[in-house]
This record gives sequence, structure tokens and C-alpha cells, in this order.
Amino acid sequence: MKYHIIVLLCAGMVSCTAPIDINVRTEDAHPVIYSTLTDQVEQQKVEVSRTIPYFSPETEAWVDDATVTVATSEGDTYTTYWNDERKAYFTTEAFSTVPDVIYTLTVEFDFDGDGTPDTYTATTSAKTPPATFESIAIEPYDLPMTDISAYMLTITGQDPPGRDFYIFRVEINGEIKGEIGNWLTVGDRMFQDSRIDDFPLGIFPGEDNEEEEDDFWFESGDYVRLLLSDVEMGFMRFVSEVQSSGGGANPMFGGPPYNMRTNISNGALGWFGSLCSLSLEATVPPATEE
Amino acid sequence: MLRKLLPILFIIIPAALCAQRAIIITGSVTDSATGQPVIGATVYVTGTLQGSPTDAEGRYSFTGREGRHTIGVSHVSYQKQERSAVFSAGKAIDFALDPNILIDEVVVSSQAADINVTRVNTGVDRLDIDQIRRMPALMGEVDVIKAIQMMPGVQMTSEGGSGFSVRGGSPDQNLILLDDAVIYNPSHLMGFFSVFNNDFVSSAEIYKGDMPLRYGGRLSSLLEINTIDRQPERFTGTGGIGLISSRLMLEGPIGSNTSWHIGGRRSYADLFLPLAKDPDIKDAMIHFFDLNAKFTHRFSHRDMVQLSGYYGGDAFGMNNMGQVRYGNGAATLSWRRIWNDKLTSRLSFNFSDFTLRVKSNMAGFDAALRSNIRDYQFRLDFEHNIHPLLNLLYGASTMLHQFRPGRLDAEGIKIIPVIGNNALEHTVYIQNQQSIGKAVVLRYGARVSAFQNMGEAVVYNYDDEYNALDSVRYAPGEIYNTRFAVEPRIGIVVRTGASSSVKASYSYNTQFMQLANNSASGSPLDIWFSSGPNILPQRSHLFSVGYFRNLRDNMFVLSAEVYYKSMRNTIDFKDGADLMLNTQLDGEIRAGRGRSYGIELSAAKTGGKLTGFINYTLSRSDRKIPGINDGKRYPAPFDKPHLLNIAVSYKFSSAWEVSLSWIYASGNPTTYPVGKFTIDGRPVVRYSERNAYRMPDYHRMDVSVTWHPPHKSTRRWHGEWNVSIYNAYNKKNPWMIRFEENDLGTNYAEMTYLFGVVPSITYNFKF
Repeated sequence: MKYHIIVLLCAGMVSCTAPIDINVRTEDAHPVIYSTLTDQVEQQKVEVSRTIPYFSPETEAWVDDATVTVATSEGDTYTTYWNDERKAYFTTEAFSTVPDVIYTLTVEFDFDGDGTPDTYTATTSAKTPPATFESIAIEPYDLPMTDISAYMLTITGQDPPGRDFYIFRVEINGEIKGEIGNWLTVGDRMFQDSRIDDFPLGIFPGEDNEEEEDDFWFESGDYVRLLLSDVEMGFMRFVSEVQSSGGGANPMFGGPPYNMRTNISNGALGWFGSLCSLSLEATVPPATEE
Repeated sequence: MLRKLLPILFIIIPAALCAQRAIIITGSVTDSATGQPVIGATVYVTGTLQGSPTDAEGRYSFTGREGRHTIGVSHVSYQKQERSAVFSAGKAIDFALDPNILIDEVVVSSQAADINVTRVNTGVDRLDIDQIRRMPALMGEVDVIKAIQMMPGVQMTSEGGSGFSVRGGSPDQNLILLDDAVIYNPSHLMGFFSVFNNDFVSSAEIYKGDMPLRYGGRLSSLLEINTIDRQPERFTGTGGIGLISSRLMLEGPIGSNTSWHIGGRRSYADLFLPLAKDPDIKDAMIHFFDLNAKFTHRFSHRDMVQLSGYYGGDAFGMNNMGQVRYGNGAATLSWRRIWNDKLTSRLSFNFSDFTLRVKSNMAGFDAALRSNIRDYQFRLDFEHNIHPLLNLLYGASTMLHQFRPGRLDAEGIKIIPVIGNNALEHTVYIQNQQSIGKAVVLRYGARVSAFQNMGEAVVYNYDDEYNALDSVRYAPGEIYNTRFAVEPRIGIVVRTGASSSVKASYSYNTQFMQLANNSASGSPLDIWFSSGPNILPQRSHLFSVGYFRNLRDNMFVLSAEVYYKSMRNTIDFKDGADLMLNTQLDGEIRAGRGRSYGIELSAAKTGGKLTGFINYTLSRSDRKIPGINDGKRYPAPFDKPHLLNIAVSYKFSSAWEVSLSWIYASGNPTTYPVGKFTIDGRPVVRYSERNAYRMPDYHRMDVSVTWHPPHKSTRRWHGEWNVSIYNAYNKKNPWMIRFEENDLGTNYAEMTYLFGVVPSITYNFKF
């Protein structure tokens, strides 16, 4: 990422932007289903929608007449209801994920309008979070070429044996910043089976970004909990793909854009995942004095 | 395939043996003023396909017919000579050439003017440095690769970049040689400039698939960059001062048998950065440099030793973030010996290296990434004219490749290197070229290669979904996989008139290594990897037929070629391939079939005040690879149906010259978003099939004016000013198209274009 920033700065010395008209053909819609079950005891959420043309003025096309259930390998079944305000289905009962329990999501609705319900299913199972990570630290960080305050979050501990794929969520002063766009994803390729000390996980904006578009920021004195989950590779990559979706092809970094992966059956897009987390805490220190 | 060709050879060879008696014609070409050998002159027999270039000793030999003929010799720096001579066995025909003093005539080739008609290979384009220098250049930096991108069938992979695609192939299917040493990444400054310092280059020649059998290992092309190879009479220098960089090349003799050439180039944008107020910019780093050197020593008229080397690199970075450094190193040490009139040998050692280093010091966390590829090669080549029907080129080579895809050293982290591997590549080849009557020349032969993967290495076994099941570790030096390739190549040229011919060729190529880089620009994140147990070598069959005709004493050079290329085991990367620091890189690769076909038309005017060329290519290229695009056929990344390149120069006088070039190309295939949805409040894009759309067509005009101030004949200093305008009519060609969302949630497209009008001025000099 650092390399990319440097290169973009170089390219920025000469490049300019301009609007351009693009004509694309209208393609068939696809059903979209997404849910991540968490280990917080809560009414778990399931989103059901369909794709719409890219240049359409519409922004979303929710499906509100589906039958959505979550069943467990322990024999429990959770039904759901449609919440029109939050545009999602929620389980009628609150529950939390348990490691190694298999959860099965079933969604039924008449997608193609032929009068017969179409059925979409997926399964997931949460891993036991590794207890070998010990602590996190938050330090002020100077972003080059900006006056923006920022903080670097680092982690210390032992990576467990084998390939691991981590999702990190952040809780600030008791509020989880739980949307998928706020998650951090890290594979252990660089430190597989190793001990890591103060390994940088990410840069977070400081309090002077309050007016900016960032969903959250750190302020001096904030109590921060990092929720660490060990997940399957596909889930971690799905999250990365959602976060990096859009933008189009970049001739400098990587190949053609592609459609994100799915683990939902019957041609539906999306993912059904689950998280069990290890919690690590730190307090945000004062920002660097100018 | 070789088995199928053998019966044809058995028919052709006896037929040729029945033809009239042939002999070997030999001789030498020297400078009439100095007596020095003239290297690279072309000796030819008018009205026939017979002829030969002179070697480093100014000597030539070729097969001719007994009797009286008109024999001629041409060279860019000398006046052409033709004379009648009687060819007889054992009789040498020598020439002493007068230096060329014409100043109002532009000569654009150091080869015979009709080489395009007589040469047996199809799909060959050659540019001399004089021709390259005449083309307008980005920021005044005359560039060999930018000039090569103007040839028919050759296209740039992105705006201003040094990457190029030949007949629909990918950039890693091009073998780029600098004096026989491989250059793995020819780019400076993210590809805007190539690594070749034009003061040190004498010519560039590209073979678009039908390569000489001496070379191989790539499917699409061979680009031979030849450095200067002259014997200077005194200490001289050439150079230039430009807006981006400056360069200097010095050369001179040491005694009568030794010569040396040393050159360098460096950019200097970074020298102005300390003037910036922003401390981050002030301490930033961005520059590139090149160093070239060449030494030649003649022990006798039979023995010559040459050492040439190149070292260059780029560096850019900022405090608090990190640095990126990358560069090439290449060296060639050769001994050429003329054993007798019939046998010449060349023994050489070649070394190549490309290394990438990325350093990070973000938040005090120090990490360093290093990856590289390194080659060591020994080769022995012979040119052996045993009999008029046996004009052989044969030889052997062995090469050690060292692949080091990545090693990360990070503070506080146990080092996890991505273990590379090694490979041995052994090759033997033999080629014969013979005349059949006066009108036909046949070239045929084969190249046999063995590619051996060698430890230390870790090889993964995968299931059908490319999930790693287990792995095997091989000890250092252990051979764990061997692949053979037999590559027959055959070509024929049939003279259809005094200045016209029809050519046909078949070429089989194998490629044992490829590049893990999805970038179309000059990204330095190049990771080369070899074929192995999980990745089969790429293979191609290329068929070409062409008609070549020159008019008005070779002033007008015309050609039309059609080709069809099929490829097996051609690779692409799976969706979202993860190529950096990946121990299971071969799990990210998908292999399948590809094909390219097209027609290339070229017309050039090579003499007079107005010179230039028009090249047009109509072509298609696609891929069909299981696991990509649902297994359906899709356009290759550089499939551009239409390419039109025009370059003209007009010399108003000995002082003023104007050049203009215009490029038109169909847009690159691309994948556009066709749908959208949201996941947990975040907008997500649904994309079309791979490369289902095409970016807007590309076109651009460049103009340059060169002024040679008058100078006194007594002064050694010659200078010239060159003013060039890149993208003269300010066409905004999209380099990248991004898709954004406005405040209402509606999407729109926005393009990034790299260059508007870019004027520049350069002062070139020689003394």
C-alpha cells in the first residue's frame, strides 16, 4: 500500500482527470444475500436484495418478502422478520455464535417472478479465536504531506500454527464500528507461525477528521477494544473484495476488475459468515504536539 | 512437427544439390581513408538473394554462383559501391569505401536497402539509431522502445509506457537482449522511459515470432538492442542536456587494437526537490540512472574479445513512508575467433539481473522486501560455411536461472522468505540456409531445449480447486522436474522480381518462464517464475506469409504480411490473483489456449528530403482459459484490432529538420461495471464478462523541430537543438477509467489521462 501511495504521487505530478461517457449493456439482475453472525448476543441481521443497472439512479433494491431462517447444527432454528427502517431481516431471538457450530442460512423468495419461490442456502462455522495474541498499542502517527492527525494501531503476540486469516473489528467506548467497510483484514503470510511485536495493523484518523467522511476516528482518551477473529480464507477475501469493489481497472496495480466471490447457492451473490472474537484493549494517547 | 518436416527437407535438399555449381565468396570491407575494417556493411549480389553483412573484422562470406556478377556494398556512413567481378573459388573480393559526405540526403538504414526483400525471416523490423533519433519524443527523451512501438504488429501496453505487446502477446513474451544479455525490466520512471541510452545504441531489431534459431524462450518476439560497435580513431564524445535527464558518452582508442566506450545518463528532478517548502517533498527521492561500458580488444585479425556491461536503476520514496529501488544489471564477455574462411566461432558469458527492493519505515516499523531474478549463461556459437549448400549456424548454451520471488525482513517478525527456485536451461540448435537456384533461399533448422527445475524449492500439490493439499521440499541442487522442447523453424523466400519477393515461415516457440505482474504499465513489481510441476511451458505455432516489394531503387519499401499464431498453456491470472509474497503463486495461475491473427501493411520512404513510414495492422487476439471468464473465450488484454502509425521527417536544409508522428489504436479491451448492489451499507459493483468492452480509441500526434547551428569545420564541437511537442493537439487519452458515486448515489465515469501537451527542449552535442 505504501508503494502504491508513492507511485500515485508520482503519477499525480503529470496526470489529470476528466468526465467520460460510458455505455454499457443492461444485464440480468442477480439476487444478493449477506449476513455475518457475531458473538455478541443480539438479533442477527440478514440482507436480501437484487442487483440494479450500474448507472441507474436507484441506489438499492431490497427484497422484503423473503422467508429467512438460520438453523444450527445443535438443532436450533431462528426465524426472522423484516425491519423496514433498517432494510434487513433480523432474527426474532437474540443469540451469539459459538465456535465450531455450523449455521445454515435459508432464504426463499420468488426472484424470477415465475410464481415459484426460489431457494438460496449457505453454511458457516466460526473458529475459536486464537488466545496467543497479547496486546495492542495505539500511537500518534504523522501522515506524510498532510496536516491530518492520525494514529497507528499495532499488535503483539504469537501467530498460531498454519495459515490464518484475520478480521479485526474496532469498538470505541463500548460501541462496535461493525459495518463491513470498517473491518481490517490481514493474512499471516508475512508472519506465519511467528511471534510479532508491535506489528502495524492500520492507520486510523484522529479527531480533526470529525467533519470528514470517515465513519469513525480516534480521540485522545478513547477506550478502544480490538475484536480479533480467525476466519476462513474465502471470508477474509470476500471482505477485502467488498471493501475494494468499484473504481474500475487500474493499469498500474493489478489486473482486470472482477466480481467478488460468493458462498450462497443457486447463483446468488453475497456471503454468509460468522465471527468469534478475542478482545484486546488500549487507550488512545494524546495526539502529537506540533 | 519435426517428423512431419523431415520428408520435405529430404525432397528439397537433393533438388538443390542438382542445381548449378556454387562457391563461397569471401572478402573484406575497409575504410578507404583509415584502412580500418567496416563493420556492419552489407555485401550483396545485385538481382539475387545472395549476400552477407560484414563482421567485426570487416569480413564477409556467402554462397554465390561461379561467373561474372555485379557485387555491391552499402553502409550508412559510406558511399555505396557496386562493381562487376568474376566469382571463382578461392578469390577474395575486397572493397575500400569512401566516407559518406552527402548532407542533404537522409540515409536511414545501415543494412542493404533491399534487406527487407532478401532476408529469409518474416516479421522483422529494424531501426537504426539515426531513424530513432528523428522521431519526436516524450519530454525530449529519445527512446528505442517508443520507436519500436511504431512498428507494425507492435503496440504499447499503456500510455507512455515501455511495455509492448507483439502480435497480441503479453509483455513477458518478449525476449529483450542488450548485447545478448537479457533485460528483464526495460522501464525507468514507471515505464515512461526505457533503460536504453540512445547514445550507446546503434540499432534495434525486432523479430515478431520468427526468431533466429540461436534465440528462443519467448513466444512473441525477440528485441535485439545492439550497442555501438565501432573503432573510434580518437577520443570523442556525444551527449545531451534535456529537461528530465542528461547523458554523456565517451569513446576512444587505446593503441590500434583496443577501443573503449563509456556512457551514462541520470535524471535530475530530485535535485530540485530540496527547494520545496514542504519537508516531506524536500526529503523525497525520485531519480533514475544508466551506466554503459564496452571494451573491445583485437589480439589479431582472427581474435577479438569484447566486454560490455549495463547497470541502471530507479529510486523513489519519501520520509515516513519508504523507498522503492529497482534496476537491471547485464554483462557480456565474448571471444570471437575466425578460424578460417569458412568457420567463425563466438564463445560468450552473459549475466543478467533484475532486483526490486522496497523499504518501509512507517511508524518506526522497519521492513524490507527484496525480490530478484538472476541469470548466468555460457554459450558457444558457430558460423560454418562448409559447402555452398551447407551454410550452417549451430551452437549450444546453458543457463542458470535464479528466481527469488520475495524475501521480507521486518523488525520484530521472524523472516518468512517466499522460497524461490533455480532452473537450468540447456539448448542446442542448428540452422542451415541455402540457395535453390537464383530465386529461392531456404532456411531451416531446429532448436532443442531442456529446462530443469532445481532446488532449493518447495512445490505444492493442489486439488481441483487450487487449494494446496501438501508440499514437497527439494534440497539445494536437486533436479525435480525436467521438460524438453523441440522447436523446428523453417522459412523460405522466393524472389519474384528484381525488387520483390514472397516469403513464408513456420516457427515453433516454447517459453519456460513468465511474469507474475498484472500491470499494463511499467510497474517494477515484476516477479518472474518458472514453469514446473504445476505450470506447463507455454508453446506456440506461428505461420506467416508476406509479400515484399521495393520501388525506385529501394527508395520506397513496401510489405504486406499475414500471420496466425496459436498458443497452448498460455497463462492468465485468476480473478483477484494474489501475486506478491505468495508461497503458492502457481495456485493463482490458470492456463489455457490463445490465438492471434492479423495482417500488417507497411510503406516506407527511405531516401530524399522526405522520409518516413506508414504502418497499419489489422489483428485480433483472444484467450480461452478454464477458470477465467467462466471458461468462455475473451479478448486478450492487448487485443487492438486497428493500429496505424505514421512517422515522417522533412529536411528543409542542412540546418533544419521537422518530424511528425501520429498514432491511432483501437482502445484496450476492458471490463466495465454493469450492475450494483450494497453489502452492509457499502456499495459493491457487478462487472461484465472479462474484457467485454473496449476503452475509447487512442490517438496522438507528436512534432519535433531540430536545428543544427552552422559550425566551423575546424571546430570539433557539433551541437543541435531539438524542440518537441508530445501530444500536440492535446488529446485526452484515457489511461485509467474510474467509477465514482455522486451525492445522489448515481454512478458516473471519470478518466485519468496522463499527458496533455508536453513541450520539451533538448540540446545534443558531439565532439
